[in-house]
Amino acid sequence: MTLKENDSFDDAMTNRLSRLRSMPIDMSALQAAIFRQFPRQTHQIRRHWFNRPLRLAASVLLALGMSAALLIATLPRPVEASPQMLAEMHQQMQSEQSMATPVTSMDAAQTVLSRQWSSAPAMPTGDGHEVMACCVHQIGQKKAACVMLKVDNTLVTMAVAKASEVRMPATLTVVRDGVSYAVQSSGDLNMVMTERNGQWTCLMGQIPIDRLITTLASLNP
Amino acid sequence: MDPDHSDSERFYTLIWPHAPAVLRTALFLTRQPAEADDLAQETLTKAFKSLAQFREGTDVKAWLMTILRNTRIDRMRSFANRPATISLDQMVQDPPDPGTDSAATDASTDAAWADPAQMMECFADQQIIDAMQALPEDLRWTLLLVDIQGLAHADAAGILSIPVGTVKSRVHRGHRMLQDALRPLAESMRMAGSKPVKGVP
Repeated sequence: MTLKENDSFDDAMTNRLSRLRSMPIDMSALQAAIFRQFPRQTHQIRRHWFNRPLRLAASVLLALGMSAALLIATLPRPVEASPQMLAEMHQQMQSEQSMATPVTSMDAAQTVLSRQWSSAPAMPTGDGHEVMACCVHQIGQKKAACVMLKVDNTLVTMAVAKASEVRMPATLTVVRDGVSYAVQSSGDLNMVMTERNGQWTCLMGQIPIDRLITTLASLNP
Repeated sequence: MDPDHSDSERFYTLIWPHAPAVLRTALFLTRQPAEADDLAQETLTKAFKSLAQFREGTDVKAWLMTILRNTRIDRMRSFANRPATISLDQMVQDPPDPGTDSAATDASTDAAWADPAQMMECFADQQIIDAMQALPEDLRWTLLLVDIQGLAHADAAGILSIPVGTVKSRVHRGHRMLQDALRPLAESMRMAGSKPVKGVP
């Protein structure tokens, strides 16, 4: 190997090894131990804090940053309808302990839901299924109006929420007649959801996805 | 002013910013997170106690690395679990010529290493760290200080108590040994016809 090749080899090694300098490490245990061993003298730091213009500016910026972060954190944000959340909701609707109110029509369901939730969204209507029960559920911190249907002798949960509060997950999308349906599953439970007229509507049950899509498509928003 | 308060403030402004470098080096040496935490904590504690001896203008990181190295040596002695190493005395007295040793010859004939920069990019961080374990402790220390921590040869020489020229030769020899340690991995990658994703072990 020539001298030049040697240099090039050593440079390559040095460059690659130098990148390990920024490899992330977990400082938590060491930090906890050191902070416990050598407590920071906060009162002393505070005494000098405002004597230094740079630190004052930094503290102002920090306060502004924290306020902005707090503001962003408290802004209403839509919750993502995860398969786990929806599966849990479906199970609760089916369980005997469910607080769902028995109803026999979508109109009756709408009346019950409006009593429980003054700004309940308008429930879609349609034929070809039996209406069993309804109640208001939570998806994360957001409310959803739920109706238990029977489709092909299988219990199907329909959940409706404001599209501004519940968003569809980034999952497989199926387009039928120009309408996009997000499709996901949790075990045997299939879920199909779409957004129409500012409403998020989801159907879930242990029936084929195609059947859920045709049922959802048949409902009038 | 209470001297304890002064020490604490000095510690957090002078020493603490280098704690990640200390912990990272400890982790590369021990490969055990808990052991690395202990080693780093002991190093920082000694640094705190020695603050009065620290002279302004001295390179803090180099100073900490000296303490880390001494602490590591003390711990290895006390735990009596020093890993097998090649005798440094033997290496210093009878160093292989990097230009003529078999590893170098292999490298020059190995097409995979024709572009060493490109070859090194193929290895994930963890693979390189693992391969460094094959190096004798003193060569590993030299690469840790010079290549990974970016210390000047003179600072590394001071920490290791060896001449600058020895640091340079150790760096080169360390690179060769690291290459040898990575060679089987490079070969298996060549056989598989694929390269690992960067940064993924």
